[in-house]
Amino acid sequence: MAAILSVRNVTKKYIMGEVTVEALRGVSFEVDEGEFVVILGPSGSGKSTILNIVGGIDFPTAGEIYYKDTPIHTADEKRLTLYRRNSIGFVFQFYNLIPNLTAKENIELASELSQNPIPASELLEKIELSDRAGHYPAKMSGGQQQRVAIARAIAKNPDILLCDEPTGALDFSTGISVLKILRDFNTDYRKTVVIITHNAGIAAMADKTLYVRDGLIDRITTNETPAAPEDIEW
Amino acid sequence: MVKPKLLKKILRSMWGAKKSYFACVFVIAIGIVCYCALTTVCDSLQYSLDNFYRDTRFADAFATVSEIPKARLAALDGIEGVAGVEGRLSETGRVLTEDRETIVTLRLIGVDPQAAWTAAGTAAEASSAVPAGAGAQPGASAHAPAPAASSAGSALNMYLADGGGLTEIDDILIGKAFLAARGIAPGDTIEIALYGQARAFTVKGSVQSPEYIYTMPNDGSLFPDPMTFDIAFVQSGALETISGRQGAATDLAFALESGYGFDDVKSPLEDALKNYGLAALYSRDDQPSNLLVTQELDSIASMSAPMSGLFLFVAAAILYIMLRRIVEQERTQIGTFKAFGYTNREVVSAYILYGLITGFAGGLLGALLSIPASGAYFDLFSEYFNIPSVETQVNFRYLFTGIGLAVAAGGAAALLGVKNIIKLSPSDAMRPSAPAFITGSLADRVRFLPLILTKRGMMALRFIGRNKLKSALILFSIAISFSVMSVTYSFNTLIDQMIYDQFNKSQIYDIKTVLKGPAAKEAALSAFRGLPGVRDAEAIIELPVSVVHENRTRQIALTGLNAGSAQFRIIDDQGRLYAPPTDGLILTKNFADSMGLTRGDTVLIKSPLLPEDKPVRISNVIGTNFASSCYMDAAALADFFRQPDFATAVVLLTEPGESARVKEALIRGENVASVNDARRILENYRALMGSYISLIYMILLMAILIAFAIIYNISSISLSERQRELATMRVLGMTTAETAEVLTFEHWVLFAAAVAVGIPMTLAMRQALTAAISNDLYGMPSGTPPVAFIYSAASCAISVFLSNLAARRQIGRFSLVEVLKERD
Repeated sequence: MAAILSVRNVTKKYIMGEVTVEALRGVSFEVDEGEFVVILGPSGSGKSTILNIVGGIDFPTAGEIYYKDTPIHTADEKRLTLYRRNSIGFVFQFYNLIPNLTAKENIELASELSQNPIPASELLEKIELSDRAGHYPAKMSGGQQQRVAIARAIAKNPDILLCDEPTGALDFSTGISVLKILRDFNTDYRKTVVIITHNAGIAAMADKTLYVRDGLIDRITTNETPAAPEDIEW
Repeated sequence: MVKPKLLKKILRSMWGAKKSYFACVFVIAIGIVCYCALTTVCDSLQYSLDNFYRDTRFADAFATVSEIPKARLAALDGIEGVAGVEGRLSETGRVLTEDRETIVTLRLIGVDPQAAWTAAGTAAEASSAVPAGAGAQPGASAHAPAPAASSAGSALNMYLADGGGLTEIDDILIGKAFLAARGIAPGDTIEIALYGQARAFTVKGSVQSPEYIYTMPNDGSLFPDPMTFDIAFVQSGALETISGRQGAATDLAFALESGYGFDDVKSPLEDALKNYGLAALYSRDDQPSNLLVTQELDSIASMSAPMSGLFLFVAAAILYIMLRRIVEQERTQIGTFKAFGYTNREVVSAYILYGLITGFAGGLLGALLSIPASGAYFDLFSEYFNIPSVETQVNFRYLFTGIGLAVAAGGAAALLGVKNIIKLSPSDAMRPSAPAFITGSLADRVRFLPLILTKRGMMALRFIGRNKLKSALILFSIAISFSVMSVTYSFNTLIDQMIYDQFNKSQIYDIKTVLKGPAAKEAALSAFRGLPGVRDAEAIIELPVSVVHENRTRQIALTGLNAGSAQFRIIDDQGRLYAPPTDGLILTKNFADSMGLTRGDTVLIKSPLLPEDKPVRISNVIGTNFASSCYMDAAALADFFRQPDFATAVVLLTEPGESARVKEALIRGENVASVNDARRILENYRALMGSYISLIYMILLMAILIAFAIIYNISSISLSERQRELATMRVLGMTTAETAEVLTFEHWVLFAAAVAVGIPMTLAMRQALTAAISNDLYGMPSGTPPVAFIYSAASCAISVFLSNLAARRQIGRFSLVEVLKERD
């Protein structure tokens, strides 16, 4: 399978006053098209930094990132915007839904950006929230909000879905339902999904797991028989 | 008392958002400048005026008669309530100058050479009235404020500004403005023609008089023109000799005893003067110059409170919105303070400091700026008001009141903005605030909106709809700014229009020639029509009369015009043409209002040409933009006075390029008192307005800056409130421009609504301002030309555009990682 993302020897340093923090110290890995990848690591290990850089909302200090064959590390803000617009879907830990748009409108907000969007009604059906289409985020539970956030990310029909602790703010059963949606997106639409989490249990459903520690990839494991979301536990 | 560390936190937070606070400080400062400058100028003018009136013993009542022997004045002294009377002979003399096209005249007033003058530099020093011939030293400063100087013993209504007294029969003291305008200095000689004789006078110094603070000749001029007219004092003997009116007086001034008013002496004075051709008898309140100055002062005073109030409201509204946001943003910090044991009072006191400090800074800046502003404003008035000017004193009472007002406005806005702190419990504060949007807004009820708007447009509309108070405050703030701009723009346009209309629709003539005395109409017309270069001539009548209604008496020029005139027509402020009435008077509205007259009322006309007061009906009252006037058909007017057709002035249309030649011929005319060139009146007007225009542009610039400050602040607040959702949109792949559309669309919607609200607001403001600043010389048209709205909308739109540009730039600079890392 061809690599959709190639990360080569990426470093990231944050200068905070007189202190320089090395968030990434030379990270290299590849993500194949259609893969379900979990980046696992404790808080402060650098996994969010990897996601941000790969997602085009942060810049590496050094190293190279390629989306397919396109270099991302040299892209200017305009190209990064296009990259995010056309190729990336983001899912945040705290959903980040637009409070004054309804569930359906939040999804449509993203689909308006795409040439080839997935219809909002189809997505609402998939996330089983058709009956809540006209509800504002404030009237929905955390799990419902996260499902809408995933639908919003998917609506643009991106190649890669990047999820930052998507279950971090949810209880177990809601978390499982969210993971199920992510897995369905991965299989039904043959799209790449990258999840960062500190929850080791989620690794069981990944095709590939990257273990991050102290700004380095500690190890990479592949899983020939990923577990179904319903079967995993934490 | 605010704990030191909390204070430090507040100060640092303010510094962090300094641009927003500076914008608030600026708006507050403008409000305080308005308050302090206007009140200071008003006070300074009133103070100067009061001192001037007191020092020069400005009379309590005045009368004009055809002639009264001075020996008879003593009898008037005996009337109960009359403390003193002075009678002077006055004549208008023509100054012989090199100027071939302009008639320069001086109102010559004969005074007793022994009369005691109030003089510059001495008025301040305990009433040392300067005897004639021992005047103040040349160059004595006229800038000393005159405190309690009693000038008992000095003559009424005379002020020696500079130079010596009238020691010789050929000495003359001339109006200060005239000398300055013509570059004449004490010691120079000036030739004046009177009764066909030219006589040389030696200029001994300059004078001013409370009777001529606004110095206007009686020839229908619209503005003072010190190049062509002023007053002058000569020895009474000199004037009596020239005029052949030995021992006579025409102008009487009365000092009244304490406890007596004009109404107490009016009837006995009327009876006593009836036989001397009483033309006018009026109180100090109705004295033309005093009336005008008083109206001007009233208009300044009436503008101070609303102007400053508007700006303070705008600043308070912005502060309130900002502080609501700060409390929301810092709820976790507030919870932490409370959890540590800070009391509500301590926390609220600290947060109120945001408003108090901003108010204080704005107040202080405004108070300091008001010092030069009031100086400049005062100078503007001093230029047209002939009073010994005082330096505007820094009035600490107003400065402190201004600062106090600003602090109060800031404090009140802050208190309203931060009051939610009290309700916030530490545990609540540690959690994200409950989402604010839980229901549909007005925008959702309009079904077609989602069809025509993008999601970003709907977001903007919903945000406006769900933050009603905030949106209303923003809308009104922009609307106020828009209205201030529209009013200011409209001044320029309307005044130009007003002048254009006056000289193109009403007074169409090229030249008006005022005759020295009434002349037979046909004879006058044939003389003028025969002049080379004259295309057409029309005889008109202008007679100074007193109009009496109930207990009010006002002097006014009664104008007799010709039906179907092509040169001088009665036109109201709406452009409607009126035929001069044959059976009554047409009054201008400002005059009618000042006399409490309406259409159908009857007034008495008092004139030396009438053996007794004669009633006449008011046939119409019309609104005009210029001097108080009173019109009648010329033939009917002659009938009214039981005279054959006569003229006191002739208006002329000249052949193209012949104006100068005609004027040259006219000023040589024996019976010509003055020649008024319409072009010159326009030039004078433009010079007068030149000073005002700089003030107008200053106000305009401030209004534009305020609009920008408001919109910029709103934009900053919106950005800070919604940076998380805006960042999310950026992460979704929206460009900076697409993301900014949420804010920019919201601003444009608010702008459009503000313009809609601002239009009626402007009309109301204009109406109020018109009422405030109209006086006897001119009235402000109350309409607002559409172009003023267009300019103002364009200025506001530029502010919106620039603020949107700044917002867009800020969105572009968002650190998406940082913004999204923070929890709401």
